[in-house]
Amino acid sequence: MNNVVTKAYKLLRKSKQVTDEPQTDQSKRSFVGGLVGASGLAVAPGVMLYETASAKPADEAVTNKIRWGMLVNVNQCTEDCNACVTACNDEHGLYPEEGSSTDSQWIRKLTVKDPSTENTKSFPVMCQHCEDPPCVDVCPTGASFKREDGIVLVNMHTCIGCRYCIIACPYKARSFVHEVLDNQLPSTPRGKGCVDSCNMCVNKIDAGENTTACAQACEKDGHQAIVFGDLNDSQSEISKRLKDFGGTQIRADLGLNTGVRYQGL
Amino acid sequence: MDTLRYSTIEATSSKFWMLLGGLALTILIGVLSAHHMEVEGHVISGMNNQIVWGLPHVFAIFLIVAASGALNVASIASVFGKAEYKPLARLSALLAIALLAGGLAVLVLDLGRPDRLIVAMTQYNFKSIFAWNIILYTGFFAIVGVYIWSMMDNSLKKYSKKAGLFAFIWRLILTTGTGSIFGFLVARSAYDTALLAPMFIVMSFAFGLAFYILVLIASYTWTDRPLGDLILNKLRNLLGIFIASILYFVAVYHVTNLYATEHHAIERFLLLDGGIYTLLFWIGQILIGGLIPLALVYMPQTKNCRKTLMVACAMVILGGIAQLYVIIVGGQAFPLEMFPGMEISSSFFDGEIGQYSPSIWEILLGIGGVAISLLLVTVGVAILDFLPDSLADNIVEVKK
Amino acid sequence: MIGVKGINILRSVLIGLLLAVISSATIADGSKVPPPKGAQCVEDPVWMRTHHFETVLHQRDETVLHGIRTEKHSLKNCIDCHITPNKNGEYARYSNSEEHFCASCHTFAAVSVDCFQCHADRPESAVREAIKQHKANGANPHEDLKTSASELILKSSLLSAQSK
Repeated sequence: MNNVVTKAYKLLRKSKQVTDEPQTDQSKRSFVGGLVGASGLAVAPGVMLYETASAKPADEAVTNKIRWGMLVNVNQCTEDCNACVTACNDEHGLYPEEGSSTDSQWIRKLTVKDPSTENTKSFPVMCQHCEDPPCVDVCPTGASFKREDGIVLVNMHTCIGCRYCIIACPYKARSFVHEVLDNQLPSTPRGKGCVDSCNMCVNKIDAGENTTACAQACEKDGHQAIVFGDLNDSQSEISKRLKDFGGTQIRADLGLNTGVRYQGL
Repeated sequence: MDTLRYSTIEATSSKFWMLLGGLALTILIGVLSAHHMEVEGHVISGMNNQIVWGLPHVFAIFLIVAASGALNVASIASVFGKAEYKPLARLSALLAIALLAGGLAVLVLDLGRPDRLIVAMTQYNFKSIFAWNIILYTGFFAIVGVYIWSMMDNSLKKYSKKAGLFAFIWRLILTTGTGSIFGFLVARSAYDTALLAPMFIVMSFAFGLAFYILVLIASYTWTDRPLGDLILNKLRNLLGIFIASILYFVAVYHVTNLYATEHHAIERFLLLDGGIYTLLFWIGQILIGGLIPLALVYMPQTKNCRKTLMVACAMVILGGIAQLYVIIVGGQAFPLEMFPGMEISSSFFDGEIGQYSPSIWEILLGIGGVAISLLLVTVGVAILDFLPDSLADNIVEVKK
Repeated sequence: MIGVKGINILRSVLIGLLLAVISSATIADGSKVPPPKGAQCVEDPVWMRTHHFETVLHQRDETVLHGIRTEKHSLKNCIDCHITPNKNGEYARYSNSEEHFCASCHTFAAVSVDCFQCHADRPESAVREAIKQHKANGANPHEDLKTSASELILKSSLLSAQSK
């Protein structure tokens, strides 16, 4: 009886004209499949920086075969561009008001100036998805955790809102939700009393898109400063770039082996 | 010693009921404030994403640290065998439990999701020092409860030394854990030091004893029971030693930091141009919390003066709150040093000193926590035999 | 002062009132809820009523901790199917309307859940529309109807009192 119901349900879903799920999975996969050969070439402007790692079936658990990471090329990043921030806010339903000290910011543009040389750099900073995250160590309930594929997340079902992880994070990556929220997007549930931070667009990754909103937006804008990919795959775009150009960690002395690396810092 | 007798206080005077009523009302206001913060969200408090732990945590950690130290007096009797302190042991254990309960109440009520307390009590991440603290705190209640029982029940008196030793070791671990909440954090320049754990231990000695002396004098004065100078002078001397120890640890912490160029920024902030934090450090912590009470305690002219002793205790408490404010809030206010030597800025207040001013809700919650502790002591001494009938010199004095 | 007769009258009036209240509260009124999109739910309704919370509690761990997202047991898909607009094209909200599918039963059973403090209680298209309207008005999308938390809770408790 159950099988019939499930099959009927599946048929109904497929036949619906309008769904609220992004229908990009299928199209992206075939597109990406076609690029497998092309990714071996040097990256030319306009080439998609999508991952060629095969998307995991939605109903299977993630494994540590993949470790997701990002490489930010500071040299390509300009001070007046906020495309990554806007994209992240749109993707996850964040509306930080300018000057608000309590609104959540998952990604922000950091401006670093050397006072002796006046050299200024500007680049996005978000949760660094450390391999050894201090926020995971300090969480009393284990709500702050690292998924098998390297994404550091907050399990908001068990978060008690103690904010210890916010104090512990060396990158000021986390925010506390200080007020009642409304109009949260279905793919990014978040609410008052819990802590949140960049989740590497886990909703997109689990849907098979294997990219992040910030990387997508940066690419669309033409800067191509953010590359997202599988750090465990030596043939991935990100791994190749890391090998060729290197990538530093912010606060590398802490030994956290971050998943987000910076080129040109 | 002349015969030592314990008895409950007479809970019939209008003064007693007024005290109880006043404390209950303060608690109610504190709980309502916490409820308001829970319903509206922490946006109504002064805390923000730069300073996530504020005045409630200062009060909570102060009470928790004092709780551990309040047990000291009992430990001196049971563990170190000083017989003069034995009559004081029961009240010391009661105060320890009461202070811990008040501190934990404030901590729990300030959580973003206090409705998930059951999650905090059943799901533990054993790598988290905070989780260990929760275990240590709940264990403390049980262990001190057993300790009190062993002191009061004649059939169990022979176990009180062992219970006292167990409680002593447990509270050393507990306070080490409390200090390590900050000591273990690599992210912040003011934390990340092993020194914070022993510093918290000596802080607990002083704060707990100051609280104890005040409660002792108050309860004996208000119930017209004799309290001799012999025991008060012993406690006075002890307080002096503990205050000096805190000053020592603070000195070592800062002098060591000052030696390392990489720590100069945070030291400059705390000691020189941190505004409110610098003021609280020098005037609150060092002067009011350290040097003046030290003088009051050791000056020969004030030797038997109870009023000076009480003033000294109150100052130690105020200085302690100032010290915790500097550690907890000041430590968060100083920006993260992600790029040492660089000037950084962002929309997320990177590179900026965190702004914080406590809201009325946080103040009321903190005071409510203190009231919980005092209420528990008041009720305790009225129900059970915690207080000796008399602590006059002839009772306390150990005849050699 | 009232007398024995008076007390008897009072008693019968009270019993009458009690019966009236009880009789009106026997069945959850789902008639105001707009019908769901699909013809049939992924599970049998009786099974759902008895087990949906276990599924939710277990499934959420699987999803969050291990990234397992089944189409069948997806909260988003439940919402997509069950939460439909009414005749005026408006979507009911969990916190202040008994026209919301989940609220219609939960307010009757007086079982409060905190799911929708974080999760969207209507399909993404409706949320995006609301966000667009807020931004067009220059308002922060987090403040819908400028309702504070205390108002939301008061409204939902009044509603659950009304539905009895």
